[in-house]
Amino acid sequence: MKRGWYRLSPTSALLTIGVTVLLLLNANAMYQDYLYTKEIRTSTPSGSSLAERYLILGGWPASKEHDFVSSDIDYPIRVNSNNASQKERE
Amino acid sequence: MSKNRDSNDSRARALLLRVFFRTLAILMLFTVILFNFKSSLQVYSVMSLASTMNSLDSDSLAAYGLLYDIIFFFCVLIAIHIIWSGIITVSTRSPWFPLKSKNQKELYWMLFVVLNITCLIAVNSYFFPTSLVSYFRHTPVSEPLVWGGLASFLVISFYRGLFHLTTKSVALCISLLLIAGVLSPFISISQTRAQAQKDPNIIILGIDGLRPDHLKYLGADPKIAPNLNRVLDSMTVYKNAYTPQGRTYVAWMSLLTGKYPVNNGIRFNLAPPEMVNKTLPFIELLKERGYNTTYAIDERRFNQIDSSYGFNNTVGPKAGAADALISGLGDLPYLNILLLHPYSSYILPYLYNNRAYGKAYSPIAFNKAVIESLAHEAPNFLALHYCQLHWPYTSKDFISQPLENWDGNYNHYMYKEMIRSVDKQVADLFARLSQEGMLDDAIVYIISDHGESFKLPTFKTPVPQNLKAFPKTKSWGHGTNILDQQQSLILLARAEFKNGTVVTPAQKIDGLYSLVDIVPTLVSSLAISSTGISSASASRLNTASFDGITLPWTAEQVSHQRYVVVESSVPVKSINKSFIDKKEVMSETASNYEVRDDGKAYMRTKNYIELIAKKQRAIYFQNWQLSLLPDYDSPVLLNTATNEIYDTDNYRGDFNWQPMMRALCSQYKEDPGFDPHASCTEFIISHNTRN
Repeated sequence: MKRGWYRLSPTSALLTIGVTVLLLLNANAMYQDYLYTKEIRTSTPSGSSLAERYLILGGWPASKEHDFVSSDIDYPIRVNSNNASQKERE
Repeated sequence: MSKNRDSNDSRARALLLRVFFRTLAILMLFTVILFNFKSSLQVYSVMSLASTMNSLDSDSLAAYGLLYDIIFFFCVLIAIHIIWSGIITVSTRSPWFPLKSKNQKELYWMLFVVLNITCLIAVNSYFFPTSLVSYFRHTPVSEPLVWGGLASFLVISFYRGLFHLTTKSVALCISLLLIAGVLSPFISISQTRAQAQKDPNIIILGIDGLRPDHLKYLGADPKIAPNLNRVLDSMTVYKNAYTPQGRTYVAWMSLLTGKYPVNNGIRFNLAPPEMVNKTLPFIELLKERGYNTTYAIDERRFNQIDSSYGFNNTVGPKAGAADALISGLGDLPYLNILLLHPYSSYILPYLYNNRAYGKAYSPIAFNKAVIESLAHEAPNFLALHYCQLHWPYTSKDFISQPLENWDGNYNHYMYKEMIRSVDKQVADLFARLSQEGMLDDAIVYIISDHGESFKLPTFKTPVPQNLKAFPKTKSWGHGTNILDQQQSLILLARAEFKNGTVVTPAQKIDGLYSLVDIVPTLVSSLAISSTGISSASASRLNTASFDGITLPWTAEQVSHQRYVVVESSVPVKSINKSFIDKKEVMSETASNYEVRDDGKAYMRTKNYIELIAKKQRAIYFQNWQLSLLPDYDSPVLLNTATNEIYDTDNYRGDFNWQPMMRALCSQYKEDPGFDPHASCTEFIISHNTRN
């Protein structure tokens, strides 16, 4: 009876697993970053938090010690309300 | 047999080439994937920025210099891919274990390609956490042991392949060349210290946007900038100093000429060359006295001072319109890693030592480049400007401030964070200068070119006194509003060093000062006279033509009868906001600028003259500011001590502002479009009538 399965040698199997693991490692890390940005992104064009604003300006908000996007630390950007006592012309 | 051998050789070469081109294709695909990945993370991609540049006319986009820079950059990218493909191809020539089938060889090759990519991203993630393509940040892969081990394995694999393909002597030569090339910039040959000269070194350190109210001498928390505060504690600090204009290039040109912008002709950043007299008499004079002159700045987008202004050396990134595009495209792992090496300044001149490409900018590497430009056998004039405090506050490392310091004001928070980084950079600079012997006999100035307004609640809005309507007194940024004192107040401090120690008094001096005072003071300090210099220099050096004064050393020398003039820059609505949208800025301003054949962006001459008419102009006297605003029909008087604001039509106080008005009108009377409300004319008529 003919075997229906392609027989891999151990070397080929290990090489295949190695390539697959590395590709998945890269793909997963990229996907995680993409998901993080989707989580922090809001409808405010200028960004509503420190991390989101930094991302909009072109950098990932991470230091050597801390990744602010994947953490729960939220630094919300304060939006100034109009002060009726101020008579400044805009 | 020899025919068989030749046939085998040519088959092997063909196979090698096939592997090489296949590798090249995969690596280029990887780069395309990275570009798309970055675009998916960012709201604005580089391509949308490029589309915004459609507001530039086609002549600008076709400028030879700009095209050359962009093509050069892409050639470097392609060269990197070719070299990297070659390395991977060679690495797979001597497998670590027997490969019996073609399939196994292909898998082995694929493994090496992916290992290289993984290692590259891991190294990028470790060194550049703010890079968008550092997707391994804070994972085990980015730990030095992991990527270090991986990199070692790849290097050994490369050498195995190299030995397989060539002879041992060829492989050894290649290795020695690589090692020499990589390591030579980092091997410091011990130099003798700077030799004693008859003239002192002159060092003018500028810190972009540094607000004096964030420094200890004006009551700020000393921990914000401990090193800078320590240096300033030993210097003479001039407490009420103003910039002639809150723009870096204009401020520096005023400093270097000793003249206000209205008198030296340089009224805006990116001034067209035909409006600029690049001959700096003071620099020419110093060179004649044997000085080695250096201008160093770590961002060149808006300050194009270079060797054509007479400096012997310039340090910093290349200046050109391609900067914005290349900085946007440049966030790629192999480019970032190459930027760790000083030789990358030759192949990536727009990215190396460029603060605007903050993710890969090293303040220490910039300091090293500055120190290397100094001469040991001649006195030095070093004009140096740090730009880390300038928007958008990007850096290699993100914030380290605790949450309790967050007040919701993004720009101010990031600004305070970058003050820490600049503070360390200043400390490093002084340590290096001392080590080189540059402070054995030196005159040092520390200045800021302008302040920065964040609409802070602590800076009270002026109290209106009988105003017809309230002029805008608070704005974002710098150079946008002369009524906003946060923009125009600057740091101005000086000291003289002997044998590494300050020998002049540590003190704070009252009075009114400006950046235009520095050159006249240096002329006086160096006791420069008409004798002993060439007639050309003597005729250029006419101290009566300086707008500045000699800075006093004691309170008794202070003149309280002095005027200081300040003007605003281009009124750009899109930068007068808490969030600066780059696309909006480009749309609003691109039509004012053009790119010329040298690849640099300049303001159009027609716009240059038109925009002068829209300037705000102010004069200070003691604690008063008198301003003429294009959109306000009477002069505005502000008391900087009491924070009360008036318009002169309704002012009934005791202060005699008329001499200020006379001085302001006299200063700007030749300016195009000056005084659209005829305030000067009416003032002169009413003054003559009274007399």
